[in-house]
Amino acid sequence: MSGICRNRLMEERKQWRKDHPYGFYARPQKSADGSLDLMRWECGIPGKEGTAWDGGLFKCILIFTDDYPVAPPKCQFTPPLFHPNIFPSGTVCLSILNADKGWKPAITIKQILLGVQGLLDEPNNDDPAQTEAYQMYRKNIDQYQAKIRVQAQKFANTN
Amino acid sequence: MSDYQSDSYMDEDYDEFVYSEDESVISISSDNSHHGQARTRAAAAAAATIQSQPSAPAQSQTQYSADYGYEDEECDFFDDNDNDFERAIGTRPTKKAWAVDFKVYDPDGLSATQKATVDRMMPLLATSRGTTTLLLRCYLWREEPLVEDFIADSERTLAKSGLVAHPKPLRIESGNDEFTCEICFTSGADEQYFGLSCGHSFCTDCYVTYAAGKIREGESWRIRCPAPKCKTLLGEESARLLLAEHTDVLDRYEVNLTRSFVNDLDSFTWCPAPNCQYAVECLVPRSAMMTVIPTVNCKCGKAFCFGCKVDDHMPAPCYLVDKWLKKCKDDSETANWLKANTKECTKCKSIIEKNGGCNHMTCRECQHHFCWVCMGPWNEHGQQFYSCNRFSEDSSKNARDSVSKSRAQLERYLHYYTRYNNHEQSVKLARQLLATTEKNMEQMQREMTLSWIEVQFLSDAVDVLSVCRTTLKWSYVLAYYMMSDNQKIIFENNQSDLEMATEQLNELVENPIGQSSIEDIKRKIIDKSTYVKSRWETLLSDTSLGLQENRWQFEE
Repeated sequence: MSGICRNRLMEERKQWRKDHPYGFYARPQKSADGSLDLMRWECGIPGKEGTAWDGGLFKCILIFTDDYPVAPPKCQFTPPLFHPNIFPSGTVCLSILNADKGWKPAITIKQILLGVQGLLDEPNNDDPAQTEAYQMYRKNIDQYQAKIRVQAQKFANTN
Repeated sequence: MSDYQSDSYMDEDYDEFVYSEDESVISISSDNSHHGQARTRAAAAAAATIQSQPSAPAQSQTQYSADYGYEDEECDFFDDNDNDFERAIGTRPTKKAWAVDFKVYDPDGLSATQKATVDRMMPLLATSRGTTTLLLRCYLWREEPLVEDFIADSERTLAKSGLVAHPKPLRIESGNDEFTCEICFTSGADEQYFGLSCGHSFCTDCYVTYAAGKIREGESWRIRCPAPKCKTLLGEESARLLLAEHTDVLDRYEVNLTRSFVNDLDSFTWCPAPNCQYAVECLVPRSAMMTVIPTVNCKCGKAFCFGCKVDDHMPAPCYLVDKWLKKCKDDSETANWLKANTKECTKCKSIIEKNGGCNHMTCRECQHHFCWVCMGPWNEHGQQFYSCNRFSEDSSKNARDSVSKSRAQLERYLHYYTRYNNHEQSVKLARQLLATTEKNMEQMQREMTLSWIEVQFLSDAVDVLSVCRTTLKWSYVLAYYMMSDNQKIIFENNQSDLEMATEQLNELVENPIGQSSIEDIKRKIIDKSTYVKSRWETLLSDTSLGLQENRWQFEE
């Protein structure tokens, strides 16, 4: 792990503990030996109030590489979600997470998670990542919304 | 530069390009004979302006200069009427009907052109050099929309590209206790940091890593400030300041900049030859390429079509070439196999391959019985099962006459394809011929005690040969799509004249030494070359005029 990457992630952790948006969580994963793995963060993103996603807490992992912060981390929902811009693997397709598009080295973990939360209720029709959700979102919005509500209940926030 | 009419670049008034002092810009009078001399000439630096536009830009220039009160100094940059200079020299060759104007640039010439454009726009926009350059790049070097937008709302135009008219001088700063880099979170007075006009500062290490990463990915001027959502562009000065110690990255940056200049402009293209570093500028608009074949000759010797980047394909226009190449890719092998191995049932036209057995065929589709040899109905064959000698009998004749239209089309395609292919092979063989010719030339020099210059006629003849073969090759593509009428007959006469003369020249060149005296051979070859060249010119003039006059109908 390069110096910049480690320092930056330590700092991200410090900043997050100091202040983070309500309902979110983000922490480095514990390795098998009990030490913290700064390169993998377990995060939780709450659905926005007043949307079909409300009430759910959606778990994802942020996976960093040594190139971070020049290269963006990967954001993967576990388990994968039903959403037009989330690949069947759970990986999120979002411009700020794409090195060739909106990624900037100064984007923080907080901004990433807020960006992903925004994407949940506002899918991007130009970059479909899974067929099922994309087709339903385009052809039958009511059925889509109903399915999202069921999904939110399934991942209901127990806290 | 996009609004001239399709016919105007053929106009006499459409003048040649002008030349920059360092000779890095080469004007070519675009005689595509491949022998056309590239002429270089010194001219005022300002003359890097493209001067060949008809009146429309001239009007708008007057307008700009009037608006800005720059009547005197500025109008030089826009002066369209330098033509007098050209006429006074009197060296302008009469332009061939098929020739288009173009200009070849080496990398230095490209930089000079960019610089000249920036120089011209700076006083108009009244912005710093860096800002003007970035604005031009954002507008893909289209000066008029930029000026229009800028006059309408300069602040918005600048903000859209994340720019300010006169950014504060850029420098790398340090000695600020308060500073913390938002990327690596190092902080303190020791840290060196840098920020663009947007005010987002980051430590130089992070900035350099970020910019260098983008540059290695091929990015040039589209690098933006590393702050989230900030659109401020990293200009050339900033890049040079930041990367001063990373010369390899900086070299790459310069290459990327030039590459993006050529890629961003429709009127520029890279020469497609491997390892060629020249770019070609040609002002023939896309819309004209149905009737004009913008063939250009790069300084490296490559002749290619500006429109589709395929090797010189005169006299067939781009869209027919595209169609033909696709067709050949799909069909030619299948068609050849069909022709060699199959026949069609005379009744239902099913395509039949005979894979064994006797000549008594029974069509699987329509159960028609016929003879494979004469194609006539089998019931007339009586007992002569295994030997058919009935070729001229009426019924078999009729059966053969009924061979379907599709078969005729196939035959037609193959007729043109074999000739196309033949010339293509011959062009390749011409390269070998060149090698043997060089040997012949040496031999001549030795045996006849001739000087090197006296045997040049041989390699010249080989050059003429391969040019003509290329043209002949593509002439068959044109002919394939051309509907039959009297005009086509005229075209085909020209084509066959050229073909015949080319073959004769080929024969002369292949066996130059031997029977007759050297003077005799030399005279013969030179005569024939001249004749072939004149036939070549006739064919090309005729086709390029014909295309513009819509003389031929082409099938879909």
